[in-house]
Amino acid sequence: MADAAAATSAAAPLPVVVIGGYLGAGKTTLVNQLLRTTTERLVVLVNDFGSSVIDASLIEAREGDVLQLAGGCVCCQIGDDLSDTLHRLVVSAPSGTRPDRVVIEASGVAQPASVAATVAFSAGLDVECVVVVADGERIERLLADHYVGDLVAAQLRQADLVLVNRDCGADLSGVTSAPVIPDDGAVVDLVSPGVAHTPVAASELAPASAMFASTVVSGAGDIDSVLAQVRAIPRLVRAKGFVHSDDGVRLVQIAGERTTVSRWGGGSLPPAEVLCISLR
Amino acid sequence: MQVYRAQLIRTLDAARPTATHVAVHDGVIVAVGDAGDMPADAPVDDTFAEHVLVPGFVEGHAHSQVGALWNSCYCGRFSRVGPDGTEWDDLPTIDESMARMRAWADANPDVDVVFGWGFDPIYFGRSCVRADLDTVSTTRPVVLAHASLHIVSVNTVALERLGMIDSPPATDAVPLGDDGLPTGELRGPEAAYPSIARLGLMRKVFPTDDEAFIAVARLAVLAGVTTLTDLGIPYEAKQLDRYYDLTSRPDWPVRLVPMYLSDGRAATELVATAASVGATSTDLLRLGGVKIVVDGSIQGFTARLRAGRYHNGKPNGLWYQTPEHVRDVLALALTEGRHVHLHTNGDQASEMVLSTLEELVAAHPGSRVNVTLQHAQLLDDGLMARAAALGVKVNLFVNHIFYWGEAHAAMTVGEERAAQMNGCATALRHGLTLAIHSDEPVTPVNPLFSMWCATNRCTHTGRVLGAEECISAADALRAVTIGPATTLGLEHEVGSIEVGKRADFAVLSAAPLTVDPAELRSIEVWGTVSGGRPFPAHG
Repeated sequence: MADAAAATSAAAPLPVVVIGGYLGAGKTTLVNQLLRTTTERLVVLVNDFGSSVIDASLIEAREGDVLQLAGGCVCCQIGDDLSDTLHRLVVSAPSGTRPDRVVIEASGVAQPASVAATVAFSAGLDVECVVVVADGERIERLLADHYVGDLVAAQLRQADLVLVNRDCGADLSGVTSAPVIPDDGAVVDLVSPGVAHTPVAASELAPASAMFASTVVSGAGDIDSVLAQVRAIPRLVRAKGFVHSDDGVRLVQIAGERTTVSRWGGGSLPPAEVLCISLR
Repeated sequence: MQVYRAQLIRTLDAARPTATHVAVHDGVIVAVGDAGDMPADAPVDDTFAEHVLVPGFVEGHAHSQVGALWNSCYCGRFSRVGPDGTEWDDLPTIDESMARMRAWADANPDVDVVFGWGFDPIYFGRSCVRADLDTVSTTRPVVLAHASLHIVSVNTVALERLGMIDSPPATDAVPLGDDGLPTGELRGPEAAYPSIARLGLMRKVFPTDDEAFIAVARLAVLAGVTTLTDLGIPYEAKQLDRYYDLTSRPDWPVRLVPMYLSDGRAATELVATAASVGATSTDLLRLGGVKIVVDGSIQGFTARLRAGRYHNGKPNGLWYQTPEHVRDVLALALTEGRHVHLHTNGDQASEMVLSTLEELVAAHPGSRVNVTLQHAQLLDDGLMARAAALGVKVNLFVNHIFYWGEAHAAMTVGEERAAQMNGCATALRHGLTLAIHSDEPVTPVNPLFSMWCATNRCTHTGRVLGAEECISAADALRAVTIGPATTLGLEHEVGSIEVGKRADFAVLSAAPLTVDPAELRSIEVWGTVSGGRPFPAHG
C-alpha cells in the first residue's frame, strides 16, 4: 500500500470540483450539463443514482454502483464513506484509467467545506473549486426557514462560486462573499474550464457569453507576478492556465477567493497562458 | 417438549407476574406457572434451578460495527467485556492507556498499524497527543480512535506516513503544538476518516467478515440479549447474504433486526426496497424497518437544538437528512404502517419529526404511525406529550447519564437540561412506549447496566443527575424487554414470558426487581435461552 501511495503522490494531484447546495437547488442539472459538454474524462461521485439521476442518454453501461458514461466518463455512488471512496479512486485505480478530474455532487444537507476538507485530507487530490448552486426562486424562503435556514446560509458562505438558477431577486451579498453568478448556460465552462489536462491554447476555450468577459494573461515569468496580474482583473470569478516559471511549469487555478497552484506533471508542454473569466 | 425450572421467573405478564416453571415446545412457550401447571411427563431441566429467568433482553439500538473494533486494542476509560468474555479493566489515566497499547503492540508484532479505540479525552482534561503515542512505538504507525470515531490521535510515524509532519495542512482539524508541529490530533470526520483510509485501517473500523458478526452475537449472549438490532445498514446483497447465512446456522443465538439506513435516496425507492427485503425475513432475521439519521450527537455538538446554540456557545448542529426527505419517507411509511426509526438526538430534530407527523396524520386520518424516536435525549414534557398524542414510541439513551452526564451539565446543554435528559419518568407519565439502549459501540450493550442508569441516574463521578427522572426497576425491566419489542413491532412474539411467545430468556444470578437498584449492574448473566435452547455466556 505504501508503494501505491508513493506512486500516486508523485503524479500531479487530481483536481476535484465540489458541487453543493440544498435539496432541489439544481446540482444534478449542473452535473448533467457538465457530462454532456465535457471533453475530459470525468469521474462523478454522487450520493445516489437509484432514481435515474444521470441522463439516460449518457449511460452506456451499469455495473453495480458504477455507471459507464459516454466519452469515457464514469459515475460512482459515494457509498458509506466519502474518504474510502476517494481513497479507492486514487490508490486502486488501474493504471491508464486515471481520470482528468473528479466532480463530487454533495448531498443536499452537506456542508461543502466539510466535503472539501475530506478531499484535502485524501492523498493525491486537490480541491479546485467549490461551487454552490441555488434556486433563485426559493433561496430567500430557504434562508428564512426555521429548520434549515442556517444550513443554507452556511452552504452559500462556504462557496468559492455561487451559481443561481432561475431568476434571483435576492441579494446574497450579506450571506456570502463569493461571486454570485446567474446561470446563462455558459457556467459549465466556469465550473470546469477544459484546460487542466489538455495543453491547448486557453484562448480557444473561453466561454462564449454575453455575461462573461475573457482575458488571457501571459504565463511567462514569476508565479507571484502572474498571479498579481490575474488578481488585478476587475470582477474576476475564475482563472485557469499555466505559468512557465524558472523552476518549472505550474497549473494555476482561481475560483472566487480560492487559489490553487500545483506542479504540472503532464506530458507535452502547455502554452504559457492563463485564461481569466470575469463578469462584464 | 422441555420444562425449565428456575428459582424465579419474572414473566412481565400482568396476569401472572411470577412463576417457577416454563414449558417449551419447538422454540415456543407452551406453559408458564408452577410444577403443577406443566404438561404431564415433560422432562424437567434443573440447569437454572438456582437462577432467575426474565424475558430475553431486547437491545433496540445497537450497531454491528463493534464486531470489527474488537480485533484491535480497547482503550476506553471504563471496563468493558470483549466478545470472548474477557473483561478489559478501567483506564483511569492516559499513561495507563498507553501502557495497554504498548502491551498490545508487543503481543501483535506482525500488525502493520497499531490501532486502539474507545478513548475519550473528556475524562482527562486533555487529549492524547503524539508524544503519548510515541511511547507505544517509534517504528510503527499508532492510531488511537476516540469514542466518537470522529477524532483520532496518531503518533509521529503515522504523521510521517500521512505526509503531515513537515507540512501540516493549515486547518483547525490539525492543531499545532508550541513547537509548530502537529499535536497528533486529527479532528473531525473530514480529517479522521481519510487518514484512517490512507493508513489502511478501514477494515479495522467497519466489519467485513463473518467473525466480526459472530463476535456481535457473542456480546449479545454475554449481556442476556436475545433480540438485537443492527440499527442502520445499507441493504446490499453481500451484507444481506451474510445475514441470511449466519442466522440460518444451527448455533446462531440471537434474533437480528437490521434496518435499512436511508442514504437520502428517493423515498419511493427506499420504502419499496425496505418492503421487498422485509419480505425475506425469517424468525431470526427481521428485515424491513427503515432508519433515518436526522441529526448528529450532543457531545459532538452536532445535534440540532431548539435553543439554536450549545451551553458553551458553540453553534447549532447539523442536519444529516433534509426535513423534506423525512417527510417523504414518513408519508409513504404511514400508508402501509412500515416501521421507521428516526435518530433525533437534539430537541429541534425531534420537534421537526413530530411536527411533520402531526401534519401528515391530520391530512391522512387513519394513518398507521409505527414511528420510534431513537436517542431523543432532549425530549421535554411538551414534546413527550406530542409524541404520546401521535402514538410515537421513544428509545432513550440513558447510558449517556453515566458516561457523559457531567459533560452535558458543564458544556453541551447545561445543568438544567442535563437533569431533564433521557427523562424516563416523564415518558412513562405520558404513557409512552419506552425503551432504553446502549447504541453499541458508543457504549457497551448491557441492558442490566441500562436498567441501572435509568433507576439511579448516576454520572461517572457518582453524582445523581436528575433524580426526578429515575424510574423503578420494574419499569426499567420493561424498557429493556417488552418496551423495545414494541418499538420493533415484535411485541406479540418476544418481550415477555407468556404462552405462545418465543422461548427467549435472559438467565440471571439474581432477581432484578428484588436486589437494591444500585446493584442492578452487578447482576451476573449466565447466558440466554433463545428459541428454547440454552446458550451459556461462558463455556
